[in-house]
Amino acid sequence: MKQLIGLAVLISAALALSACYESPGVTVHKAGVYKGSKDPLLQSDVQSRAETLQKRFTMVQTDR
Amino acid sequence: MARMKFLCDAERCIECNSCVTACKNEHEVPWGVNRRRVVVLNDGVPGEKSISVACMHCTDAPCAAVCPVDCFYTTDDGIVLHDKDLCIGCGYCFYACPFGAPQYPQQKAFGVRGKMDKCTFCAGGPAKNLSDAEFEKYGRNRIAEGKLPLCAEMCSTKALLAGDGDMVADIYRQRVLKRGGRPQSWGWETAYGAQG
Amino acid sequence: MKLIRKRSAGVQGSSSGTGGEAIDRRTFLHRSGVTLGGVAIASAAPLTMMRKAEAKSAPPKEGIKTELRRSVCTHCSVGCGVIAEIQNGVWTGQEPDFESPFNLGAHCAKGATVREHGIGEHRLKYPMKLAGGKWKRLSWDEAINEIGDKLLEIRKGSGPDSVFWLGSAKHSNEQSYLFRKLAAMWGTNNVDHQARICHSTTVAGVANTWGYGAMTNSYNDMHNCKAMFFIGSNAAEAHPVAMQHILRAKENGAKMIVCDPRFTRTAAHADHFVRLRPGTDVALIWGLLWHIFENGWEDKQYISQRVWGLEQIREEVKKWTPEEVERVTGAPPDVVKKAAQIMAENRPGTIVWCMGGTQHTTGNNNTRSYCVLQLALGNIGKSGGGANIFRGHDNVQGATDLGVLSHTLPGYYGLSDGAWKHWSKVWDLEHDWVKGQFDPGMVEGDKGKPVHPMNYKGIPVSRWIDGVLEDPQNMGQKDRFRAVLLWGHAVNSQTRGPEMKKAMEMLDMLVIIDPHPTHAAVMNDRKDGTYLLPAATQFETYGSVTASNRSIQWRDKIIDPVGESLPDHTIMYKLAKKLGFAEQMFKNIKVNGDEPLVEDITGEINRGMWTIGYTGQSPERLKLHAANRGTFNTTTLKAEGGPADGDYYGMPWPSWGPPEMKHPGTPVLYDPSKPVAEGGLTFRARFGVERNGENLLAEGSYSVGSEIRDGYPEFTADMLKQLGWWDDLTPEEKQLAEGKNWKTDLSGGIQRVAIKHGCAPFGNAKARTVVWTFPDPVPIHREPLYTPRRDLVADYPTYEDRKRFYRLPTRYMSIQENDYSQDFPIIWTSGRLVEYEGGGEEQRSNPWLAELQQDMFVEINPKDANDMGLQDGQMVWIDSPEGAKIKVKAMVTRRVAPGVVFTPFHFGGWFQGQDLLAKYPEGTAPIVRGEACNTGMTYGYDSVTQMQETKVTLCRIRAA
Repeated sequence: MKQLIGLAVLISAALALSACYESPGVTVHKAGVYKGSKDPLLQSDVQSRAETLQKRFTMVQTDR
Repeated sequence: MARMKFLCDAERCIECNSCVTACKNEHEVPWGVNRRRVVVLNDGVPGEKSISVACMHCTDAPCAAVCPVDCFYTTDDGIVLHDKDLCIGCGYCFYACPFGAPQYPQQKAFGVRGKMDKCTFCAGGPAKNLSDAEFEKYGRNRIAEGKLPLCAEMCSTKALLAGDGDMVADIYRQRVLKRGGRPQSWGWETAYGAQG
Repeated sequence: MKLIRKRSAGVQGSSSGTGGEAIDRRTFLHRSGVTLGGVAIASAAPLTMMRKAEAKSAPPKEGIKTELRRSVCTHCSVGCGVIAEIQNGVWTGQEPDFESPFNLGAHCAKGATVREHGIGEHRLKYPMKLAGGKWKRLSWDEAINEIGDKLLEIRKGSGPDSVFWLGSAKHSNEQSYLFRKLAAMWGTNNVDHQARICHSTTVAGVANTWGYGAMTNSYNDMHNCKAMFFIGSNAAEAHPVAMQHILRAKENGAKMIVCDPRFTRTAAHADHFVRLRPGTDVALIWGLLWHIFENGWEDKQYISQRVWGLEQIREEVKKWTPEEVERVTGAPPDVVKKAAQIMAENRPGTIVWCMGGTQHTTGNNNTRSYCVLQLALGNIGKSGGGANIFRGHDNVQGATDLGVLSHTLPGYYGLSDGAWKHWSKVWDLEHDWVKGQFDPGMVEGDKGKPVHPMNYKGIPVSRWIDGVLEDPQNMGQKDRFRAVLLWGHAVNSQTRGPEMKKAMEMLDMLVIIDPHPTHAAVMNDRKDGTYLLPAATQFETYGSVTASNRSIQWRDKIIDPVGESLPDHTIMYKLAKKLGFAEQMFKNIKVNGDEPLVEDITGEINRGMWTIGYTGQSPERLKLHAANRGTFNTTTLKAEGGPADGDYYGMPWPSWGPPEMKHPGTPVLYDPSKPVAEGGLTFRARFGVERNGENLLAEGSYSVGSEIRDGYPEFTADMLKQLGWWDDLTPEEKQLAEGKNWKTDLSGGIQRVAIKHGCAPFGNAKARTVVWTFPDPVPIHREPLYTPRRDLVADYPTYEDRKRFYRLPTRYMSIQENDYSQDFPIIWTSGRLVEYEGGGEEQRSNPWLAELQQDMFVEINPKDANDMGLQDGQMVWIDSPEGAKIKVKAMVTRRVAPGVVFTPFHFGGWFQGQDLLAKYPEGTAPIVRGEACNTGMTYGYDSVTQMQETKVTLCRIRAA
């Protein structure tokens, strides 16, 4: 039974997905401004963070 | 200013899933939720290609545009995050997302969705940096520690790159030039526009 | 966007029941309950499954100091550095080891999850035994006492050869060495490990061609390749981080060829793919050589200087016309020619092979044919060339080097009296005392002549079940096995499941020493006398490990052993003490409590391993390399400045002489372009100086700086005297070197002086393409024992049966002469998945990995599926011609050719259709269980090494 439900959900989801694919650009709501809590990350100095991360990138992700 | 981006080089991706498991390990993502996954085209036949996919942290993120409770925000370096305390698990963002990134952990009752969960670019979320609360809701905050997403840092072949978009693009261009081939930077235009 | 849609539609389409459609592995996984596609799919996973597999967590906590510790991944031979974050002794995170020149921070799916070892939810936590069919907890003392008493009782009744000591490629070098020593002290050669069933045919074939049986170059050196030829290697799944180096080579312009029966994920990256019928490697390689000889593409100068016997090869290759190659292998003429041409036009090129080539009754022929191809092209002994033989387990190279094998002592010294005397001397023990530990008297050996058990190679791991089942009358030892110790070994990696079950049930005692109970604990119906001892993983101890490229790395301890588990060397000490030879065994090794001092063991290894140069890598130098790993070049592996300046990373063996000589290690074997003192080398003079009047020594080729400007034999004390170099030895060296050779001189003086004069201690010879001591001196094609090509059996028959081979009767012809192909028409082969390794106990118990591979499956081509009326995703039975059957899920894919099916070999915990969940001690069952494919894999053993045949058999598939 559980499998049957699972299958039904799968199929309906797949249908829903393909319906979505037909009109990808549609939005039904006008985006507002972020209403959540503040992220302390945004308070930190973005320039120095960028430099740190660039250095890190060179160290870790290049072929060296 | 640095704009953080992901890029998966399909010529280098070998579908080893280290990005998937590194992410699970780093953030203790529960069974059944995958912030990152590997997608395969033409499996088992010539032309087989694989790509690692997660939230791409889009410019003008479609998820943010459809969110009825406005829980998304974008950091100065272009990372798209959301507040789980606001999220109602409606699933709109999943339908809007061109990468299928948003995930909804199972809640107690069957079929009821939990709050949306997705890749944070290892930047945590709107909670005290490196706090237990932040870890529990969003996972680790590597960015605050001066590190980049672990999926890319641990990619077996350095196919998946994460960092300053210009640096990522530089490395990728060099590879393409060396290979003399067609670029295989899947998803780059969709996420960041034609200018990349 | 299209990607997602397409895949979701695929789910829907095939669920509606179209049979025989090829699908991708991810879609297959969806149906297995893996949730990758977001909202809809996540809801489809059964709730119970999700709760059950919820990972126990050990997250980092705020405000607690984090310490970094370093080890090396335990999941394959690439040797990836692992960085662990530790808080209060708890392993809370992993960081990329970007300083490591091997992985540059990278990991595969397995390496990225090794932290789970520390959480270890499904691990064995304390010793247990099976009593009256129930698992019972024991203390370590009780366990060691009971096991020891039983061993001594068996020894009294049936002799020391009645116990089988099965060691592991998961041991560190020190533990491997100690394990071989333990078996020697117990008095038996019935000791072996995984290498037997992984690369034994490589080691035998390659060592007999040019001297050493190891990977000649390195993963990193592949950056320099102009061509890369993979045969029977699926690096993308088995050695994922190696692909970083391989794809860098490809970006540098190297051409990549993959030969495999399957279109593997490695093949997906190749420039050229050659599909061959399983078990026809020699035919394919000779097919390539046919074109090379036909077009004069061979390297004539190289051959005349450094290769012997190629004329005999030419005679054999002449028979392998493109038409005959196609008839046997199925590879079309133009495809084979193109492969030959790519290799000829892009030099230096390398060859890579793995289990696809080695695990055959003709495995030694395969490996030698690969060597011949490379020798003809002049590719060996060159950066960018070489035989890059990717080893499997993290320390299978080290465990092989340190002799956890039934046919040799550490360092490939063999089992002759000379070998025993050498090691007795290193151990500081009387040879007579060691000999006294063995069964006295003589037995009839493999060649029908009497042999002492001490000098007679023991029963190998591939055949241990026959060591139990065979009538002792037919065996080369006093009695059958009555006790077996499985120390870090997955029995689901061995063939003939139903017979194994029977063998297990006949044993007096079965001891499993492992972090997990393993398939061995549950696959039999024993009620008593099974012991489970919890072993610590390598992350819970420290020591050295040898990567595939012969580099040795030092591991630091990351966490304390989980539960009551203990490191292997501590368990070995406890057993030795109980069995009464701890005093001798640890004569020069300090023991703290019950734990032998690891550095002392490394030191003893350094003092004895002259043959392959494990003498220069002292613990101090190894630790120095680990600490300064960021200073090594990622292509050459050479330190550029810093404290290890000039050394190669991990001092890839041979690192000649004692550590004080500071030999940098040998990055590329047999490369004469560098002085020996700086890592250069020649081919080893291992097979005498002439054969049938022909010179076996090199001619006009020698390493840079050699004072002997031609070939020369291996160095001995007498040779030094003849050369007038004897007085270069110090008086102390002279004393120890008198009457010795480069392998047995414990002073290292002979090696030092040879190298001082620019010479290789082991001589300078030609590689031999004809191994006159093997059953097939020139490698030839022979049909597998179970073959569907009855038309080829007459032309390419297998061997005659053998009366005694590694102490056991061994069958060939008496199997092949029966035609099974009518009832079992499908070829069955096996291989790797990236998420799992070996028997898969560790990974199937790790939720981060288990989630990605939840079902044992069989890959079937759509044509076969349609012919048999099978649908993707349905359960099927695979029947083997020896009567076993396994129940698995069908996966329909074009990855395999029609007529061939493939199964992964990492599953266990099911047996012939039954889930054995109830038989595990509580809480220790792996999350994912499935049928072991080797339950159904059949009889068949290599004619030189007893490697098991797991790459070709026959089967029948039917709906379950």
